[in-house]
Amino acid sequence: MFKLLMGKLRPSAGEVKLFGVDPWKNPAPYANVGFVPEHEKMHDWMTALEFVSTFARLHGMTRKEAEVEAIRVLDFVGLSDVANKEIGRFSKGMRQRTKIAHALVNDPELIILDEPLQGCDPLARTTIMNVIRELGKLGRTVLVSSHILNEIERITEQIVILHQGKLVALGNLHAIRERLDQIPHTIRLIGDDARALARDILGHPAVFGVSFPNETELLIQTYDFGQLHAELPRLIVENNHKVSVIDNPDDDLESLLHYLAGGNA
Amino acid sequence: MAERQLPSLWSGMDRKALAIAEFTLRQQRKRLSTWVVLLVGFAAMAVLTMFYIDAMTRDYEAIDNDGDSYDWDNDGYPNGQEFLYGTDIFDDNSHPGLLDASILPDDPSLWINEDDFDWDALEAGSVGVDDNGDCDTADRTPSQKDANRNGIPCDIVLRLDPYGQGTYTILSDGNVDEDPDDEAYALESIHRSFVLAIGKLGVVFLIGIFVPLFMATGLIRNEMSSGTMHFMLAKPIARSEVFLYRLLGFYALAWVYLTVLIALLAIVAGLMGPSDGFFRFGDLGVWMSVWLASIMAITVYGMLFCTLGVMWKHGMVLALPIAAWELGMVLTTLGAPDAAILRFSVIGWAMNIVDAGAALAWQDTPLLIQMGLWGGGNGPLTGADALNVFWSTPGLGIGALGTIVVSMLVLLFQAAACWLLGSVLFKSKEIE
Repeated sequence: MFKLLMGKLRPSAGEVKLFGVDPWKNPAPYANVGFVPEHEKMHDWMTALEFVSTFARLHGMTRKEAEVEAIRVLDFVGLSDVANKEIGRFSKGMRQRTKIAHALVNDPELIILDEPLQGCDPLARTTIMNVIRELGKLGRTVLVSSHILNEIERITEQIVILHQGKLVALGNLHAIRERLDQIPHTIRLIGDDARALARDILGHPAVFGVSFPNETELLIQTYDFGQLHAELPRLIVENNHKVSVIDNPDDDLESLLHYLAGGNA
Repeated sequence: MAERQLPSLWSGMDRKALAIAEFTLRQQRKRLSTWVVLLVGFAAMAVLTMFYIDAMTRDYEAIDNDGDSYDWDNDGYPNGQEFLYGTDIFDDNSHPGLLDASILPDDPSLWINEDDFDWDALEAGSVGVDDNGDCDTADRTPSQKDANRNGIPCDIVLRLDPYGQGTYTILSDGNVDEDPDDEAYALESIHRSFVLAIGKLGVVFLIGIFVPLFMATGLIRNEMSSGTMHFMLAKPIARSEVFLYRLLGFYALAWVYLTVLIALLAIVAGLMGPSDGFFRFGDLGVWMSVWLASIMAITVYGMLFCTLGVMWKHGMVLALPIAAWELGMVLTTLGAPDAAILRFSVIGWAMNIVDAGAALAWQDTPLLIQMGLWGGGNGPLTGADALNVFWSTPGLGIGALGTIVVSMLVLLFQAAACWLLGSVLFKSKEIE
């Protein structure tokens, strides 16, 4: 979707307009757009400052202007102290922030971020989300794609859910979430004593059912997946259980989307 | 943010051009493969130059073609000296010392290479002087003295061959210029052969084709497959511009490399080559044409291979048959520089530039070749065959300067056509 918008792909049907211009044919509207691609590969041999200022010059800035702007945006994303280090030595979060900085350098009206949180550690996620929120406060239009709903929730309330090119949900996140809450989630735990574990967890208000496929495995049914997930580690540690695996067997995007798509049909 | 001065179309374009070219140049500089390719090219040229230095420092045996240095009757007087005074070379009681006691025997080495070429005229006509006086002797008949029947005894007639481009037919009266200086000839012709060979085959062809093959084929393709092209294409810049500016970055490196390489070769050959002074300034014209031709060749090949890289992710596979074709064409230029098939190559046009430059700087080369092939009737002399192989008359038949201008225009057109094709292909590529 974003690739169509950025003229990387040609629409197979219909048409794409960016500020009223077909981006496949004319790159002019990119003067007002900042794009953060999802690809992880970057020019590792450059320093963050070189990277940002080189691409700033493609907006027609002089070398001097580009450098000033690059320093400004690197400061904005909190990388000014490592601006002269090579990108190859950066962590994922720092790389992601460098990419965001490169997209902001022309002071764009529209900022498009393709999976900006993918593969980042929690600290990096928080920093990146703060940057995105800052941008929103500055009055910029920010488009973010992600398949992690929880994180989107922390950034914005307006979401669009697309599935296989079809619009399945559009609007306020809370309204969509209410529908989502009607699907039960399952959490799977593997530990030394599944029954003892179940006793301690059943007391939690979000849990409405447990089952034991075998001696060591415990399946928990919940309507409030997010809350339970957040409190689960505390429950386990407080009651001195040994747990080796925690995962969500049916929490894949596909089933969620199928549910939504079915619900809207 | 401070209000920026918005760039005009042109200043915006050259800022972008500079940014991408500079980026490309730095990217190439950071790659090990760049240095390997450039060093291998340099080493190959250095090895060829070693052979040349060896050839220039070697002693060439002075061959006594006419036997004038021998003393068959052991009277102390070399045959040539006896011929000159008309005494019997087979009788030790007949020698110049008996004719006049003050005539002392010459050192035999004076009678080697004693009848050298003295042809400084390029126009066909009468050349040659019988330096040792063995043509115009009393015991020879007038028809022996004027075997070529041009009315002048003891000379050589040069006739420009109307069909064989710039070649000559040599008609000699006997015993004229029959014992040339083998070493002088060998040094001069080997020197010229080397400059032409390393210029045409080494720099223009090998460097001209292999450096872009390894360095330009991936200029766009590598960025497309690694995904880093997304950064560049998300900026307000047309893909055809990206294509061109990437190549400009490559050219900045390639052109400087060629210039340094050719300058080094010119200095070594200028100092080592046979000359009256310490340096052969007369060769600089040829080196200039080699420089021009190699710059043009690398420009066209760079565009071509980058386009092939955009066309298919294994662009190298497409480039190899083209390189093979060009190799065939470069061999064709040596034998048949006027072959029409050469018009369908890059290298044929580049070779025209070198051939035309050499024709301007060394106008007497066709004569030098014929001289050596004839070699006083005992040819070919050392170096004559090599020079004959590497020298070609510019194949367009429109004069040297005209050839250079036309070839430059054709090569520029080829480069522009490749750019256009590459841009169109690049524009139509969807990038995942």
